[in-house]
Amino acid sequence: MSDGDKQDPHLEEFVRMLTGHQVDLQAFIMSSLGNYSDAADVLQAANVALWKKAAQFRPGAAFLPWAFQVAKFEILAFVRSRRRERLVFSPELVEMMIPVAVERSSGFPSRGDALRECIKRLSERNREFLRIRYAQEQSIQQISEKTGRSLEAVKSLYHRIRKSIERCIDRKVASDTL
Amino acid sequence: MLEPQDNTVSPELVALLEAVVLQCASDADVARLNELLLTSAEMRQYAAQFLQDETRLRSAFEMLERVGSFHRPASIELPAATKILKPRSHLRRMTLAWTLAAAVSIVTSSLLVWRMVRSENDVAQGGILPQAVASFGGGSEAGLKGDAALEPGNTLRIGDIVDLRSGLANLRFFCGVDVCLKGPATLKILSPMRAALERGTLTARVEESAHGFRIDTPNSKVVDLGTEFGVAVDEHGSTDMVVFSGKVTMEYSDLRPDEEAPSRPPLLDKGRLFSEGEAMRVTSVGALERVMAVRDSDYPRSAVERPDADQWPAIIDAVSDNFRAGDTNMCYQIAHNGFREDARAYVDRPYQWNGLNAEHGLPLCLRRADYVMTFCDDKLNSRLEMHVTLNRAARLYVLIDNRVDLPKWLTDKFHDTGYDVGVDENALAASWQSLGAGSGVSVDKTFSVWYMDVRKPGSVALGALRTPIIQSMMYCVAAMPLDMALALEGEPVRNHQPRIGRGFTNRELLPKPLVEPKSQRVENFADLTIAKPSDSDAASATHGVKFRLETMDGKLLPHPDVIVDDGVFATLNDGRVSQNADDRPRSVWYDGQGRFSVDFLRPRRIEAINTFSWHRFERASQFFTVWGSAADVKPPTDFEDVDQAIADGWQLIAQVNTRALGDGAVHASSISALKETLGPYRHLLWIAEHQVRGTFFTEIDVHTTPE
Repeated sequence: MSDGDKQDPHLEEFVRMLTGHQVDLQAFIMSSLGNYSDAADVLQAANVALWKKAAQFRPGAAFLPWAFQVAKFEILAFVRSRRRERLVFSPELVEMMIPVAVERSSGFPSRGDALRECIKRLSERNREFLRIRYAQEQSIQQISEKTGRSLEAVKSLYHRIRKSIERCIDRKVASDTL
Repeated sequence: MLEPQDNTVSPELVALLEAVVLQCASDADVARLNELLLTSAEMRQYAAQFLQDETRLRSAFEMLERVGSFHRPASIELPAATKILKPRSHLRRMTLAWTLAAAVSIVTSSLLVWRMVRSENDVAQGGILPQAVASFGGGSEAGLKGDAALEPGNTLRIGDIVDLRSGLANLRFFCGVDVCLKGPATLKILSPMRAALERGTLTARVEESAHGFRIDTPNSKVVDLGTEFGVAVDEHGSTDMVVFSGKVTMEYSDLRPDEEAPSRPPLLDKGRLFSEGEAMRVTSVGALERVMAVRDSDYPRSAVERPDADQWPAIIDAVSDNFRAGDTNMCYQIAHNGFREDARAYVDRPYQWNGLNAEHGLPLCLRRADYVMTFCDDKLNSRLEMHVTLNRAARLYVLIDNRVDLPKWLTDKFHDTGYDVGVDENALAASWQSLGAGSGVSVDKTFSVWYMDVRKPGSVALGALRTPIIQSMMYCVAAMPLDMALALEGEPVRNHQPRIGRGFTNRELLPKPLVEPKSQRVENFADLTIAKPSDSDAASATHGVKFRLETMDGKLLPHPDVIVDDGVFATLNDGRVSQNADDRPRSVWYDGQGRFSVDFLRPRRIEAINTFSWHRFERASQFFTVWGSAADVKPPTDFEDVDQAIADGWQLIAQVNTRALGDGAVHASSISALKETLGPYRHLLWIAEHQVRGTFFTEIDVHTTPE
C-alpha cells in the first residue's frame, strides 16, 4: 500500500465525524435491536455502508441524522436476514423502536455527558464491579463465581448501580435544562 | 415532556430489560418484553433510554481501558470500528510525512550498520520517498558493512535497512515513537509509521501522535494503539509480542492444531486486541503459544544503561503458573534490580510500589531487589499455582495486601518481616486517585512484606489468595541474594509501618481495642436500631461539653465550609442531626485526616460512644479510632505511632470502619462494652483516618454512667 493515494479534504472531516459518533450510532442500533452483540454486528455493517457513501456526506451538514438513516437500513436488513430466530425484539417491534431511538438519540445529547459525570461519582466498589462487567466482559455467572456472591446478589447489585446511575443522570439532565 | 419519570417506570419492565442485557432472559422473558413494548409507547421510550444508557455505560468503561473505538475484548475479533480507523491513520501518516519529513533518528548505537536499498524505481513510485524520513541522532562506533556506516546526525529514509549485529540501539521515529533495538537485529523502514522486523528484538514506546504505528514480522503485524510494546523474531521466524502498557492489535496466521502447516500460512485479515500485561507467541508454522514470563533484559527499554543497574546477577530465572494459552494471555514480567520507588506493581495495572513515608523510603531489604510483576486480576483466581525459579540461594519475599486473609501456604513457609510497603493507585481504582512520585506520596494501600530463605537454587511454589475481596490486590514476589540479605543491617520496624491517621492503619499495627464497635447503615435516622441520636448525653452542649478541634503544627484543618467557633465544633453535640444527605451547616467533615477531642473536666465511666453521619456518597462511611485518657492534663494529640500514644497516656478504645456497609445513607456506629463500662476517662480523642473524601459527621453522643 502506498502512502500517497487519495487525499480528499472532505474525507478527513467525514472520518472525524464517523469515529466521533461511534457510541451514538451504537446506542441507536442497540436501542432498536435490544441485543448487544447484534448491535455490534450491525454497527460494523453500518460503518462499511457509511464509508461507501462517504462521498455523499457534505461537510458542515448534520452527520447523525444522515448516519441514522443509513444505519436504519442496515438494521432492517439485519432483521430480515435473521427472520425471527434469536432476535430479542421482534421485527414489528424493531420497526416501532427505530423512530423512538432516533428521537431519543437526537433529543437528549447531554445524557452521555451526564453519564460520564455520574460514573465518576460511583464508589470504588461499584466501579470495580462495572469494570469487570463491561471492560472485561464477564458474564454474571463469571462475576458470581469470582466474587463468591450468589447470582441473585450480582443481579441485584447490577440493578442497584444501574438505578443509581439512572437517577443521577435524570437529576443532572433536569438541572442542566432548568 | 418525554423524560420518563422514575416512579412511573414499571419494575417488571426494568427487570426484563436488565435480564436481557445481562443475557439471562428466558424465552418467556423475551416474549413478555415484546408484548409490553408493543402495547405501550411510554415503555418504548423508557426501553430506548435504558438501552442507550447501557451502551454508553459500557462504552465509557471500555474507554477507561483506554481505547474508545473497540467494543470487544481480546479474544474476539475486532468490529468494523477498527477498519474505519485505517483511513484516518493513513491521512495522519501522510501529513506527518510531509510536515516532519524525518522518521527515524538513532540516539546511541553499538555496531550499527545500515545499507541503502533505495532504487530509482522506489523513488518514482511513492511521492514522499525523496524526502528525508529518518535521521541518525548519535552513536559513537557505527560499524561499516556494505553501503554506509551510521554517523550521528545521519538520516534514515524509507526503504533503508538497519542492521544491528549486537548490542542495543535507540531509534527515534519523528512521528513520536522511540524504538530500542536489540541485536542481532534487522529492521526495514517501510514508512514514517511502519517498519518490518526481520529478526531480533525491539521495544517501542509510542506517543499519542503515532498511534497506529505498525511493526511487521515474517508471520504477524503488530499495530500500536498506545503506548508501549515489545516484538521479537527468532531465527526460525517465530514472533513474540508483549504489551507493556496500553493496547495493540496483532494479526497473525491462524493455524488449528489439526491442520497441516502450509509453508507460510496466510495472515488473518482481522486483528486481535491485546491489553497491557498480555503476550503471545506465533510460531513459524502459525501455532499460538503462551509467553509465560519475560525478563526486562529480554526487552530493553533503552540503550542508555541505568546508573545503578546490576547490583548482582539476576536471581529469578523463571515464573510460571498452571494456566495455558487459551486460558490466559497474561505474561509475568521479571525486573532485575527493579524494585524501587514508583516501580510498576502489576503487569495489568499501572499502580506503583512506594515506601510509606518520605523519611525512610522503601525497606532496605527490598531496595533494588529483583521482582516479579504479577497479574492484579489473579487476586480472584482461586486455582492459581505459581512457581518461581531461583538460580541461587536467595531471600524470597512475598508482598501481600493487608486486607486479605493470610493464606496457609504463606504462613507455613514464610515469616513476616514486620515491614510494610505501599501501593499508589491511579484512577482505575477510584476516579479521584492519581499516581504520585516518590516515597509516601499518594500511597493508597499497604502491603506486608513476608520472607523465606531459599538455601538452594530451585523452584518455590506459591498459591492463591484466600477469601479474596474484590477490591483487594494480588501479591507480589521479590528476591535478593541470601548472603546480601543476611548482611543487611536491621531497621526498626516502625520506620516501615503505616502511621496512625494516615489512612491505612491496619489492625495488626494497633493494640487490641477494648471494644468491637457495632455499626449500621439505614436510609433514615428513624430506622436506626443500634443507637439513636441524643441531645441529653454527657457530651452534649447542654452540659457545657465542647468538641475541640485538634491540629498538628496548625495542620489537619476541617473543610473550609465547616463551621468552627473558636476552635469548637458546635454541631457535633447539639442533638440535631442532618436533615438531608448533604447538610453542610449540620455536619463536620475533613478532606484528609482529622482529629478532635472532648474534655469532661473529670474522669467519667463511659457506657457508649455513638457516632452518626449522613451523606449520599462515600462521605457517609466512618473510619476513625477513639482514644481515652484519665489524666488531668490532656496528653499530646499529635502522635502517629502506637508506642508514642501509649507513652503519652492514651488508651485505644475502638477502631470504627463502616466502609464495608456501602456508600450513601445514614451510617451509625456504637462503641459500648457489653457488661462493664469503659474508663474512666476525662479526655476522649477521635482520629478520623485520612480519606480523600472524609466522613460527614453530624452528631456524636457519649453516654456515661449516672453519678
